[in-house]
Amino acid sequence: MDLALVVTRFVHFAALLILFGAGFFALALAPASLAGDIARLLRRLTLPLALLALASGLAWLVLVTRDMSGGPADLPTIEAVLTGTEFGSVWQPRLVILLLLVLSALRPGRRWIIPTALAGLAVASLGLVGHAAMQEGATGIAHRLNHAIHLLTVSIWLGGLPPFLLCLSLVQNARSRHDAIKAMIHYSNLGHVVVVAVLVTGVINIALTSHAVPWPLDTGYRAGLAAKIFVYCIMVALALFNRYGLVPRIGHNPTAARALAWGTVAQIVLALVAVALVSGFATLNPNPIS
Amino acid sequence: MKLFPLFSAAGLTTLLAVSPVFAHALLQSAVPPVGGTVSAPTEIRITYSEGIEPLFSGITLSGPDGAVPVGPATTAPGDDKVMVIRIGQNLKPGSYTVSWHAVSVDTHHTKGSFDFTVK
Repeated sequence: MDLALVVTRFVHFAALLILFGAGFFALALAPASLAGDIARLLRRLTLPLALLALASGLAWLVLVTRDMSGGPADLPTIEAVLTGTEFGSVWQPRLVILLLLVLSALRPGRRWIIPTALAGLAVASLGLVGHAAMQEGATGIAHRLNHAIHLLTVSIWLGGLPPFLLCLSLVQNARSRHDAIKAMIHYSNLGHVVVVAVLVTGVINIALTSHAVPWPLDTGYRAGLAAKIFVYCIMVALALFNRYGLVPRIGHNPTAARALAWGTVAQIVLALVAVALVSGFATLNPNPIS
Repeated sequence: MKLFPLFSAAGLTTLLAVSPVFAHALLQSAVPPVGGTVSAPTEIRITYSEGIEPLFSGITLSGPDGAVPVGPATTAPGDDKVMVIRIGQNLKPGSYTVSWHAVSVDTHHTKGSFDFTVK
């Protein structure tokens, strides 16, 4: 496996998934009174993550150029890949979006609509690469669209976790406690839908890519996919415990609040493990010739 | 909970041990047909198992008088699995060898060769 490509993919996916989801939380889930607190968090996250997304997007282009040409990736060859290959036809507009994302992060407004929308486009357009792009025609459109939805819902889940953690800390503050809890409950309620959407779109992806359950674990692809499904199951169990076991208690129980903070950190780690798995196994052959 | 680190370690080790075999473009059919006999063709068409990138793919053609000039690789309109290459001169009767190399749309390299006869 190409380690450089796997690491590049991981940085690219993680940065964009967090960026869109955090912006979505700020715009759709948090009461307006929390805007200032959440904006402070976003201001710290957005530019670094946008720069990571752009840098990894460029690195990805260089690695693909090296792989396709079989030689060093000099500028004329990179340009040829960008203008003359199917990968390039998707990557050109994506790089423009990523550049606009960095520029928008330099001068954000208070409401973060533009960076969030651009991040959403950057996430959704990842549905046009990889195995999601392996078919043509109607099946091809359905697969790409399904994968875009999969990525957006994963992003709402993962990206919402840092703002969720922030809201948890705001519970200590009498001024913001009520709205912080409201935002956390909005996130957790939407979480029921998001978790199901991630599962349904994930199953459709599997049906269209490898057409089979990842069993037995005799290939790298199946082992990676099975591990990712396992991580998903743990995340769902933890989310249910966080939502129904801990959230109702945090108003009056400092131990519950601390446990929820650690539970949220655990969710972030687990989600990043899942992203790392995909960064690796999804570069392998889903259906090796037997 | 103790199984999880073991599981991921096993999964990760498997991942690192394999080489990526995703979507190599393999020759499925050709015109002139592999090993076939035809009257002088003006182009070579090769149908692959995966989409190819014409920019990084191509053939060399050699015959009774040595190398034959050929045009750059293109793909058939609407079908990136078919490589089309114009032959740069009239082929006289004899045996010819096509040596092809292809890069699939997801960057994997393949190559091969086949013969045909011009009657």
